[in-house]
Amino acid sequence: MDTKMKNMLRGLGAALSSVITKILIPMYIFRSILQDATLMMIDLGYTEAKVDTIIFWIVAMGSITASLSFTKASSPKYSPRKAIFEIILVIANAFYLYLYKFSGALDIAVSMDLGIAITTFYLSFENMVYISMGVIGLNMIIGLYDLIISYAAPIEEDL
Amino acid sequence: MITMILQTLQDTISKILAVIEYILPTILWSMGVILAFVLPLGIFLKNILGALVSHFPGPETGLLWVYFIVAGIFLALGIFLATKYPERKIQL
Repeated sequence: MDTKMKNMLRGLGAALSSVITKILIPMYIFRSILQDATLMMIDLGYTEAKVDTIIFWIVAMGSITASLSFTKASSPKYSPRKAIFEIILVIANAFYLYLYKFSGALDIAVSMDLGIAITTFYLSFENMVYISMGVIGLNMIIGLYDLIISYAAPIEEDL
Repeated sequence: MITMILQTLQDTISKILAVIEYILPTILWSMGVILAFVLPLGIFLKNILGALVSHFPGPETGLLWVYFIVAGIFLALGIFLATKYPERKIQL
């Protein structure tokens, strides 16, 4: 198999996994939450409009991250362009994560109807988002390091 | 008999304590790193993203195609680079 084909296959694999994990699975989960809302004893406070907003951002940012995953994965190993696209992908991932919070997916008001009593409580994932953002920030630093290495001390390895 | 049981108990406890003594600094260090570095970095990033995201076209504008165009540009660029410059020897 020639290098072009290998690159394309690597890229396609990465894009496909990104589409499945970042668009299809979240979309299915949010749609099923909405469909099962009437059947469940626990109400998570998701309305049709709220789920539509969440799905809009999932599809919008998910498609961008999937295409960036293709571009990054199809680049040759240790090349400067791989490092550049890695940084852009990390930034896109940060936007994807932020828009999850922004769209209201993580503002969950749980209402439970237990028959004799109805209880409501709020779940806040604020700190979890901050830590995830911090990890993304660290990934960005690693991406920058890769970029510097690819220019300053290129790895001479036969690929 | 009781002395033997107490001895075994003491051995077990000291083994558990040795494991805790080994693990605890790692846990504390990682918690410290998270609190001192990762969390502030996350809050900083979140504030920057918050300012940028307000300019993005939201669902009320119906401009989903804008995101698809951006994704398409990146995809086309990826396909072009992967086919035109498949080797790393060309510095791109």
